[in-house]
Amino acid sequence: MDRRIDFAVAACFSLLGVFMILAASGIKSGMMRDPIGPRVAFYVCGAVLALGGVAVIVGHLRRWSGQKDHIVPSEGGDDEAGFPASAKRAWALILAVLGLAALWNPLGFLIAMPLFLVTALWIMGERKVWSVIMIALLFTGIVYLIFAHVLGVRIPVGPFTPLFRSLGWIIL
Amino acid sequence: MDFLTPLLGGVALLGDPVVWLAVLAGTLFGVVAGAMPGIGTTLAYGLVLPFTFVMSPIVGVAFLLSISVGVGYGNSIPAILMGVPGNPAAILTVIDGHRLHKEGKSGLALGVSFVAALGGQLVSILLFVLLVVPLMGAAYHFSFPEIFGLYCFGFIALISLAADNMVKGLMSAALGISIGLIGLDPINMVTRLDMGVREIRSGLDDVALVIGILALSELFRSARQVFQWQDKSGETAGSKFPKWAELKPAVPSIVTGTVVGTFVGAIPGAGATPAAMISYQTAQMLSKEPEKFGKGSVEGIGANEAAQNASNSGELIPTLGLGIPVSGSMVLLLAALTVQGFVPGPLMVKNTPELLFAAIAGLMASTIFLMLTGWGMAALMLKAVRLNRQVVIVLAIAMTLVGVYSINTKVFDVFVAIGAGGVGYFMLRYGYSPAAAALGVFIGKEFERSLRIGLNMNDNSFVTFLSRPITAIILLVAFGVLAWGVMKRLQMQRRIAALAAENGH
Repeated sequence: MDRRIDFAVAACFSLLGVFMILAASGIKSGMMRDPIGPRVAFYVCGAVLALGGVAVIVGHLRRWSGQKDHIVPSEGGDDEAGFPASAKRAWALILAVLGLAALWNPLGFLIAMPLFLVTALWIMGERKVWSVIMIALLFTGIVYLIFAHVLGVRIPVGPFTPLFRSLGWIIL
Repeated sequence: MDFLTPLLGGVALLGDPVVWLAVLAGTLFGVVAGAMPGIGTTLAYGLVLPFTFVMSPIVGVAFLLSISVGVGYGNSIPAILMGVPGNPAAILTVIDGHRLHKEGKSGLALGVSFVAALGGQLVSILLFVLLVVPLMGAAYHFSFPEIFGLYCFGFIALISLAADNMVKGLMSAALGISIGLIGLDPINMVTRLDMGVREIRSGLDDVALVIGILALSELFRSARQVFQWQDKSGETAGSKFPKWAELKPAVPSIVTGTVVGTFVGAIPGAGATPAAMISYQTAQMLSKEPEKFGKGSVEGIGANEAAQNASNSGELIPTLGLGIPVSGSMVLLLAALTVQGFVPGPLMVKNTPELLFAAIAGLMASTIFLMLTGWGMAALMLKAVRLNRQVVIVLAIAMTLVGVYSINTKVFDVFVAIGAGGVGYFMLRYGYSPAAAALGVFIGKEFERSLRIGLNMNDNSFVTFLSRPITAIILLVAFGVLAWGVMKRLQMQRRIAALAAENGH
């Protein structure tokens, strides 16, 4: 498998390392002095990331140029053989998850979670509309009951807040 | 504390019905989770971690450890019936177990795996107690320099978890350590790398980070493909529990596997995979029929399954005895205890021996429960394999996020977990080790703290600091284990590659 994107990932790590070293140089020393200080750990980690990234790129280039057709085998976790894989699906799901987090407070759990579940199941190829809706509503209801009423976790409910407060389900 | 006290303490806890309830729930969940390919102990812990926050620490520890036992038993199912190794340690179960399944001997393969998993687990509890008690006795002699030495031991785990590429493993660890260090400096209390963001002035939440890196990343990676687990399953009807005469040849290899699994599991970073490999090799050397290994050997299945399950108890030795987590799931176990207010370290169990009793109770009760009901639960496990994989992935993500939110009721933590999950997904895809990064998050902070405070206590002199007798001994042993580990790791990589090439996995 040709994994040229490995270069980009290694370069990102390397740049992150350089950024970390630069950012750490701005950390204040504080009043109490010790032989190590508050910056050294970041300098070391930054250097490992920066130099490691360069080492990965150089090693990859060497193997790449030495291989027939410039193909470098993947070092990452393999997908299940025999089933097509889609990076777009994974990224769409991550975006949906970010959407859930963004809507968690404004819309409340009881609206944001079913919306997320329907979207996520759609992304994952589930097309049975009624079963998807039922799964979303049942899961949301059960999880809300367990976390909010059994475990006592304060979960935002958005527009339902006045109603739940009048019913005595929310005290604050 | 003598050897019998923890055992009796564990047995005494079994009189508490709440502990039993937690253990039953944990074991059932573990078996079902383990039966689903790709869901290992770490991901299973990540899914249920929030429930432990509202349990007492005792019940929480027993609950989590019963999940490990359940997963250990449940994960042999996809390996035997589908030929899918849910984790690298199960590759050898695939080789022998799936071969027997194809020959129509599913009952024999599942039966040997059942006996080996539970036998290995039960005996390893005794070995665990035997090894952890002396460690606890030494805990009062430990100050910051000695604790620093122990964290050096933890760093060996980082290197051992470094996946196939050592450079990428070290980079993963460096990333985890630096993320874990964001926030307040342990000496001066000045903020570090907070980028002016108010929410991270006192640091990112460790548990949210670790759940994101270990659990969400794996779920995001699983979402790349759409298929049903049962598509990979074969015919399973008519599986009967094997007769004693069929099981008997596996007994010596189960005993060997148990001893090897407990000791190898206790080595930082070693875990179930090297334990299974070493156990398999040892069983083959001692076997009267070594030629059967790799071709449907019950001894091979016994050695592998016993070692994998015994390594559960082995991993607890440094985790509870010294406060050093040695694997992803142990990081989550300590994270759960941190949320409960415990400070990981050598004094944790010394001051609260109930945690040790709870660990023993959880391991014992879940093993006993599986002994009584495990074979009957095979039907349940087969049903778990028939669950809609896509729905399971989506609900697992939702459950994980609700769990992360419930730690501090902060949506910011949910964003942290998603960000960590996204980074972890990249790491998984391109050969960087999320486990090393998660361990880095957890031990980096304490490593730096014990080093700097320890130096302050020793007149800022490295010589005085490093020449303290216990510190020096721990560091020497750590470097010795590191050298041995690197050597064994290279040998194991060659062996895995050879086995995979032979069997086409």
